[in-house]
Amino acid sequence: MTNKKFVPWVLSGLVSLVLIGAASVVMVRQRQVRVERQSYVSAPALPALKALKAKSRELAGQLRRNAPQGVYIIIDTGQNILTMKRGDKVLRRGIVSTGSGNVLEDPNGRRSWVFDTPRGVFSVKAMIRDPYWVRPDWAFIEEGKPVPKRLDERVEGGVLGEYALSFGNGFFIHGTLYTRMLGRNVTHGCVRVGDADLEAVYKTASVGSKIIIF
Amino acid sequence: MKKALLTALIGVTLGLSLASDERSQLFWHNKKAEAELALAETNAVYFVIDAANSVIQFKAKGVVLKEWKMVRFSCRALAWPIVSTTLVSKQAIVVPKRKHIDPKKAEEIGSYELSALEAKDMPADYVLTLENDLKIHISSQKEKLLSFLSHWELSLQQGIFEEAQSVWWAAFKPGARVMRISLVEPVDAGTLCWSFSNGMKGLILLKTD
Repeated sequence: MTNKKFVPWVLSGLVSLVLIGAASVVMVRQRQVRVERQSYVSAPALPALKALKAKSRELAGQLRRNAPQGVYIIIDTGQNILTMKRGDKVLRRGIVSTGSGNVLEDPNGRRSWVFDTPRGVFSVKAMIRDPYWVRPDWAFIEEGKPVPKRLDERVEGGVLGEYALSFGNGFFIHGTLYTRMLGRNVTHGCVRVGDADLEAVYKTASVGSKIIIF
Repeated sequence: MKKALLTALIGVTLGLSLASDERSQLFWHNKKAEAELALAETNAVYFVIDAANSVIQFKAKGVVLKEWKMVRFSCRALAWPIVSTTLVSKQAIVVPKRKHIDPKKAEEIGSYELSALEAKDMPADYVLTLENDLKIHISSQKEKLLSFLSHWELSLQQGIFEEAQSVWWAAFKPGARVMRISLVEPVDAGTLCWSFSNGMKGLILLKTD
């Protein structure tokens, strides 16, 4: 009976000890944290104001020189939006379709494809009017058809719209027959654009214009 | 005479103090610019988590591509040096999977069947693991409130677990650094998750004063 009376006290004492122990360890750690934080944020020997201002100007100039010159295109693959800009000024904004992220495996081989639109900074390599599509292997494999040996069996006209802008590795900004899919992630990696936006992009951009995709 | 001397002394002290402030601000500004310049010189898109201005920016070549407003930023424990860091992985309870195209079904369903991985499929509550064991928990304010109300038991459980985990990390895993970020809408957290890709580099800027 007497022992039973002590059980809650012993238990609460143990819990308190654990809590006090944990709190002490946390406090010690937090002190270390403060010391480390101080080492990141304190600048022990500040250079002279003149030198700092000169350095600031130099860095700002270098950053400016890195920015795209002339017209550049930004593609947001998450929201499927194309923005054409010059400096800070927006010249055109339109809805596009970008990569589906789907995976295709060749049932007869070891090849596989991931249909993502590549991300990063690219530039327009070539601008083509009335482009033809040379269908790659995956276009046949995806449809369960045999891959043709002859080039002429791969060429297809009228599916890329009126214009195409190549940005390397077989990727293009081009038109589409599937305008109802604009705004969705449905492509094999290329950027599909509506007719009016495509014409504006083709007429404003030039070879070398930067394309930034994220 | 005494009054003039006193005024001059106050003036000089104030002037020195302001100059020192300006030097300190410029020093940190230059440190940030140097770190960003290294990223802007590459052909990659990079992120800037700017706690001082409560925004997350995606940039390339120094140009802001998109930004998300942070409604809450908390950094438990360690501060972060002004050097670039790399995103190692993203973790969520429900991870969206890439769909596999089955060529055998192509004729049955048609080639343009809409079945893709999109930003709307992205989780609104997830953890980013960066270099040096830094973990950033991203969620949305709205969803937190809604999920708390509709799943209060789970929320309490999660709240207690997360706090316990923070204490555990602070006490026994000093290398682990934890930051928490809340965005306004779940869709913001989803699009941000979409835009982050493994291997991406970026900067985390905390207040330096």
